[in-house]
This record gives sequence, C-alpha cells and structure tokens, in this order.
Amino acid sequence: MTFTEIAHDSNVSTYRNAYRATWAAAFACYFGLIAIGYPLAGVGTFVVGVAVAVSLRQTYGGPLFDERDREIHRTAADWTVAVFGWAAAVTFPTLVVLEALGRYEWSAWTTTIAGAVFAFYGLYALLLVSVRLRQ
Amino acid sequence: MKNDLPDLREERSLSQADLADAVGVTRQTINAIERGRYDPSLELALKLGEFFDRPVEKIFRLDEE
Repeated sequence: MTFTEIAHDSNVSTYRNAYRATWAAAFACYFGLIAIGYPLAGVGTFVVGVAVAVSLRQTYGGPLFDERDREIHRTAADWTVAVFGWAAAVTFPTLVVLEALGRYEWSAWTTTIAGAVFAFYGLYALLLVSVRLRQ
Repeated sequence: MKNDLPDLREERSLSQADLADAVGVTRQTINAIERGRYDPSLELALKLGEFFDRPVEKIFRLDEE
C-alpha cells in the first residue's frame, strides 16, 4: 500500500468511524438519559447527534459509504429478517401448543410481542409487494 | 468472478485509491473486487469498463471460464 493510499484510507476511516461513533453515542444518550429520567434531554441529545452524523457525511468530499456497504447492510438485513422469522415461527406456535396443554399462560407482554412481530412482517409483506411492482 | 483490475491498474500506474476516486467508490471496494471478495454492481462494472476503455467481459469473467 502506498503512502497516498494509507493517507486516503486514514481519512476515510476517520470519517466512517466518527460517523458510526456519533450514531452510537446518540443512541446511548437517548436510551441512557430516558432511563435515568431525563427524556427531553435524551431526545435533544439524539437530535443533535443525528445532525452531527448527517453533517459529517455531507462534509466528507468523496463517497463515505458505497455500493459494497449497501450490499453488506442488505445481507445483514436479510439475515436479521430470516433469524427473526425462524425464531418467531418456532416460538409462537410452541407457546400456543403449550397454552392449549395448560402448561403456559398467555401473558400481556407475549401478546404485545406477537403483535409487534405481526406488524413487522405485515410491513415486510407490503414492502415486498411494493418493490415487486416497481421492478 | 475473476478480474484483471490489478493488471489494468498497474499498466496505468494507478493506485487503488486513484481508481476508487475515478469511479466513485471507496478504496476498500476496489480492494475487495480485486481480491474476488465482492462482485461489483453492473453500474460499477460498466464504469470500470468505460474508465479502462474495455468491454466489461474483457475485465471480468466467470470463475469456471
């Protein structure tokens, strides 16, 4: 690797790391401040963090993220949907059977999670149809 | 896919960073393509073909060829 490449990489890496760290800090402050009883400060810090992250991306001269990064995100998203789907496909029917056998009592939080999973895959199905129609 | 990007770059004395800047991606992406770890999109492959003034199939080829 040449000196130019090292300098180039170092600059890109600095911006990429700063961008990721800003997002991480924004989320940490958001949840942390809300958890300790400062919800407005949490939201305010989060908004500032997002603004800083977006400005970092805008101020960098070249492509900070490119098609390979998008592909990596897509693959990770595919795996997330698959893992989440398989986990739900095993968990909820099992809970239904256990409840029918009297070995499990369906609770409010389980219903909330089931609703969230249903909404998640409902949105996924809608987006699938939408994307398919466009292509 | 295999490709001739390292040779083409060398012929023109270009670094990976130079090529990355020319086609609008990061150096890491050029490096990943050269090492066969990432297959470029059709758009990027066409940009590379245009940059090197070669048809895409003269730069990239399937592994079994």
